[in-house]
This record gives sequence, structure tokens and C-alpha cells, in this order.
Amino acid sequence: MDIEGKTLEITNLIRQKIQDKSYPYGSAIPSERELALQFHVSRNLIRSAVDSLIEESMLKRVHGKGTYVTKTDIDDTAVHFKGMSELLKEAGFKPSSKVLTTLTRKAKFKYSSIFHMEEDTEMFQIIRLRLGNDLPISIENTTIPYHSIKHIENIDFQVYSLYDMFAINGISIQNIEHIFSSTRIHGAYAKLLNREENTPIINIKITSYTKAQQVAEYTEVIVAPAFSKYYTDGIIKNGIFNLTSQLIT
Amino acid sequence: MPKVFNQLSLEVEEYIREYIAVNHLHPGDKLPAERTFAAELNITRGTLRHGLELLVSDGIIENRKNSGYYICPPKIDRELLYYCFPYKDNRLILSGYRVVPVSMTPERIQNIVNNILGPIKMEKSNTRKHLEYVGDIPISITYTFQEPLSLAFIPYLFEMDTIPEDLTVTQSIRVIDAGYIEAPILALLKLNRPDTLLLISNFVHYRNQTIGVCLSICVGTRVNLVTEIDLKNAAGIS
Repeated sequence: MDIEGKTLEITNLIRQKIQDKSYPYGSAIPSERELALQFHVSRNLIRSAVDSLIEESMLKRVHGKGTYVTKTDIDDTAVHFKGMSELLKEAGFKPSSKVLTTLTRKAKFKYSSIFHMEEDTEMFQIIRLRLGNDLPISIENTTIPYHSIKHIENIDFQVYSLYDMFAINGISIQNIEHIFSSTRIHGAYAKLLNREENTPIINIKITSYTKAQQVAEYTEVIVAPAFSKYYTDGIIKNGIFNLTSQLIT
Repeated sequence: MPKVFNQLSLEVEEYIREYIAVNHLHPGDKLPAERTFAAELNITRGTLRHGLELLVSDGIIENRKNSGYYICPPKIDRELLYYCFPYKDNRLILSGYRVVPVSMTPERIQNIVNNILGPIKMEKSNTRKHLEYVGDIPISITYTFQEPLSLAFIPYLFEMDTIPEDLTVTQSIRVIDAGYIEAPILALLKLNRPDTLLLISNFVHYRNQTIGVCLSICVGTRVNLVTEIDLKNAAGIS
């Protein structure tokens, strides 16, 4: 068999294992070295097979960690949600994110008003720096109810999007409210986005609602000016507003 | 309490927002002195100021020199969907929206319209220049240009309270440096030192022609530009 035929065979074998959940969603597949031994082929061949499954969005390679299964059979709007990462990819940027801090905290006044929950409700907060080709794009400060996602403290948000997590926990996002305003950037955030202290910047408050109109997620974003268009540009057609990032391909 | 990544400033910000709400402070009311908050939170005044700065930048409070911090008027909610058709934005109308004509046009706005419509169409456009207020507060200066040929089939595009079907509007929001806008125009907006500006651009297309341009210099610290996206409806548009 030629090398291409062999690669295709291995690709199909790995795809089969993803589909029958031998490699379950959310886990890492064995290393290239292990797969090469298992299938008695070269590591180069394994790499091409894995690459084509990454192309199909079944797998995702995370530098220094491994290759993760990102294919899920849960059919949900959230899965079809064309996120910022896809949009950036289309624009030729290699998106990544860096978790700045995560904490478990009480809702207190602010989040109890946003989520309509008691002030002592446990919340999970994660602050991330989003990058494209290693250029800083935005800082996203996300809060969700702690108990809405199982084992949230173990989830690697560098691999999985919040929307992936909502999908596997059966949370279906129905509608999303965006509020745009301007502010000024300060301190550590200014340094992270390579902006001078106190310069103007766009901020966006994003609230995601479930079908039952419960708040599933609240995020505050500040965006580096060079990347504003990915967050703010929209199109109004037939009386409906869509952000470019939410259009479906 | 971890002192990483502005975390402490965010906590101070939350605390003061709560203080304002719980004590029912109104626009123009004064916040307690810095040392009072610093003592309550057991932090330095320097740290407290970082938190206060976030609220000043957001347009929630203002710092009056040698006097203290005062509550700002609430932000005005405005629908992005109807940004260039404000008469369709019920919430905005009910909050006391009104317009006052102005005569000056910033060079930056002229240049954008010139690029989009060309000098001849721009000259012949139905042009409107308005300072937009809610009550006594200027929120933006908006310029609309309707291309002359389209006036025959859609008269007064930007004055309608319905949006004609078959229209597509592309919209963008950018932060702009006040330094790019002529001083007399900025004076109309009565900017305070921490206020920041957004340029909101709307291009109206009809059958592959750009028939209208709406450019607005908006005081981003005085408005909440709201948009609601229904994911079920988002399907099918590309």
C-alpha cells in the first residue's frame, strides 16, 4: 500500500475510535509515539493522520499538553456558534489564550444582580488574555455559576471553549446580549494589551441566556483597538442584527 | 486575597458599586471620603484609588477637583440595531431623546463620506447634522448622508420610524482619540476629562449600492449600546 493509502487508513482508525468514544470527548488521545508503536507505522505518518483530523476539527493540538478530542455528537446551537477563535482563524491569525487567573467566589452584590441568584451562591470566575499570532487581542473576564459545569476546576480552558462546556453539560444558549461602551485601560491590563496607561478602549458586556431565560454566563471584555472589528462589526439584514463573529459558515 | 491582575481593583469597584446601589445614591450625590472606604476595606488609599479610577473611566462616578467623587447620570441605553433610525428605538425616545441641528462637520467625517460616496454624490446628498441629547445630556453628534438618486424611491431614509425591507446595514464601532476631532465640535459634547469617544459607522446598502452613510461621534462613557442576538435567528445568514 502506498503511503497516502496507509495514512488514510490510520486516519480512519483514529476517527473510528473518536466516534465510538474509545477516545472520549474532552480527553487527550495517546501520544504520537504511542500511536506509532500501536499501529506499527512511523511517527511522521501518525502526525499526518492527526493533522487531517485537526483539519476536520475532531482534534485539537495543545502545545506542551497533547492532542485533545474536540468532536462531540451533541447537537446544540452552542456547538454551531461560530466563536471568536474560528473568526480569527479565518482572518489568518493563530488564536490562543492564556488564563490569567481563575477563582471560586461568592456572587456577592454584583453577580447576584446579574444572575438573579443569592449573594452567597458559589461562582466560578476566569480571566483570560486572548492572543492571535501571539499579539494581545483582548482580556475577557467571565463568570458562571460554579455548579453549572461539572468539575469546572479541572477543565482546561486553553483547550475547550465555554460553549463546548455548556454543550456537554446540557446548557443550551438561546440568546446573547452585548452592551458596548468605552472606558480607559489601567495597570496590569494596559501592560497585557500593550496600551499606554489611561488610553481609551472599547468594553463589551456579554450576557448569555438559556431557553428558560436564565443567565448562563456573564463576560466583560476589553479589546485592543486593532482587533475591534472582530468584536464589534455587525450586519443588519431583514431587521435582525448579527455580529460577524456569530454568523454561521 | 490574591493581588494579581488588577484583582484588588476589581474588588474595590464591586464594593463601591454595591455601596452606591444599597445607599440609593442619585446622580450628583457625593461618595464618602477616600479614607472612609480605605478604612472599611482595610486597604491603602492608593489601592482604593485604582478601584475608583475604574469607575471614573466607566463614567459611573466623576472626580471633582479638591472636592471628591460624585455620582454621574445613568448611562443611556441605545439599540445598536436602530442606531441610524433612532425614531424606531422606543426606549431611547422614552428616555427623552431629542436632536439639535449643528453646522460643523469634522474633517474626519468628511473624508470617510468622500471615500464612500465620492465628492459629487456627497455634495448632492441629503445631509443631516445633529447633536443628539437625552434630556440635557449630549450623547453624540451624528451625520447622515443619503445618496441623491435613492431619494426618489426611499425619501428621507434616516428620518423614518420603520426600516424598509431589502436594506442591509453594515455597522462598526471604533474607539477614537478626541485629538482627531476639532475642538469646537468637541465643545458641543461638553466632555469631561475622563470621557472617551466612539465612532459608530453605519453603511446602508440597497441592491448592492451604498445609498446612505451614518457616522456618529458618540460619548462612549454616557451610553450603553445594546444588541440582542438570538442564536436561532442567526442561522442561515452568511
